[in-house]
Amino acid sequence: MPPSPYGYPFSMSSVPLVVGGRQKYYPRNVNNRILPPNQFNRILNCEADVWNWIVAQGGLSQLCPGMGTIYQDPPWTKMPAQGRRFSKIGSIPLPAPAQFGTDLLVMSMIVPQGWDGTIISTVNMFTGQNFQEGSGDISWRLLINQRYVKDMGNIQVTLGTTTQPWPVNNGSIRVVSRQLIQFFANVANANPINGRVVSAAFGWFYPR
Amino acid sequence: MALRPKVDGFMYNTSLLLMPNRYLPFALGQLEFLRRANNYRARWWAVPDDEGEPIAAFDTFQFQVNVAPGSYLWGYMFSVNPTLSPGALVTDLLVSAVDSCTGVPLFNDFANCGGANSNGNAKMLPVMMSKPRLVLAPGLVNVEIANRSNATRNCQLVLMFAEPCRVIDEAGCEECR
Repeated sequence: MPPSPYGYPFSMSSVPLVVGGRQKYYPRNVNNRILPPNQFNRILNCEADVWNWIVAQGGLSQLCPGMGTIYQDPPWTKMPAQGRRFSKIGSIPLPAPAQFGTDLLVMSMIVPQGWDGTIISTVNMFTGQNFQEGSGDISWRLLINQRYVKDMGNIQVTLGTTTQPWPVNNGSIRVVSRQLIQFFANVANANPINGRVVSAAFGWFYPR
Repeated sequence: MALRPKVDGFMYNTSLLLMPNRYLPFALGQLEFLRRANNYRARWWAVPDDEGEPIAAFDTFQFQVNVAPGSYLWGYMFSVNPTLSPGALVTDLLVSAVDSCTGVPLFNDFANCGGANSNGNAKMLPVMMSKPRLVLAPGLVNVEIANRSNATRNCQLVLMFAEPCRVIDEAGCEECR
């Protein structure tokens, strides 16, 4: 049995509250003298013992193998055999001046029910001319459900191309079942001309 | 064996109407073991610890709370500073909290803070959980606050824990090492 998470060994299963034989409470510190552990502490300690035991066995996933598919490698680092690739690419024309400063949807997809996934690379680019990198002429935003992905809520530079996508910092963005993935673009002015705004996400889904 | 009702801060709050079929009495009932146990003390953790720390537009703030192992999370509340973030909508902020040990999240995804913010009128704070959540060793809770507005925001999430009193000796004192 793992040790009690508390500093004092008052776990119900390890040390009794009273010293054997004398049947007298044995306090360890001032708090214990004033308010000795009672039966409710013992109930709470039991819960802690149960959870510590679960952790010691390797966690819920080890004790409940029916919780999902067992993969040899983490499925978000290496696509498993059951995995399915996705390559979602979207593009929009430059908006009319009335829509400058408005977030416009470029690409959207939903993670399939019962499948999790990982985005390993993305693309946000402009195919025309006069786009000044980092100027804020165009801002891209990647949303998962209603939140922006960390550091990808206000991208003002080109990242990748459709033939050479940008690997997400050599890592990935994990997504889970039924999440809505959206790429928005915000064109601030009329500087970019003669092109389309492109966004894409590449990766794979795998069954839970 | 019938026990006398526990008299504590929840009972002293005269603004609480303990209607028997509402959420609060049931939540307090689930909290009963913790309220009656000894050797626990309140520890409230504020995230971010400095409310003046801004969360940039479209950005996500990440923070790890290091509580005493064996603590129980029993409630939370949220606020946006109207002075530092004038005109801010609480609903523009989303929070997530995950027990680092078990990987079990508090919400299954980012949750809108509008439900955890006081409107100064009818909403009851703190938001009490239906059952206190045990945080195992090493006592780490990963918190994220996502700002989906186009302006910097200053806000604070307060996580309410009941922390077990521990014997502090030289071997167990983190500061002594």
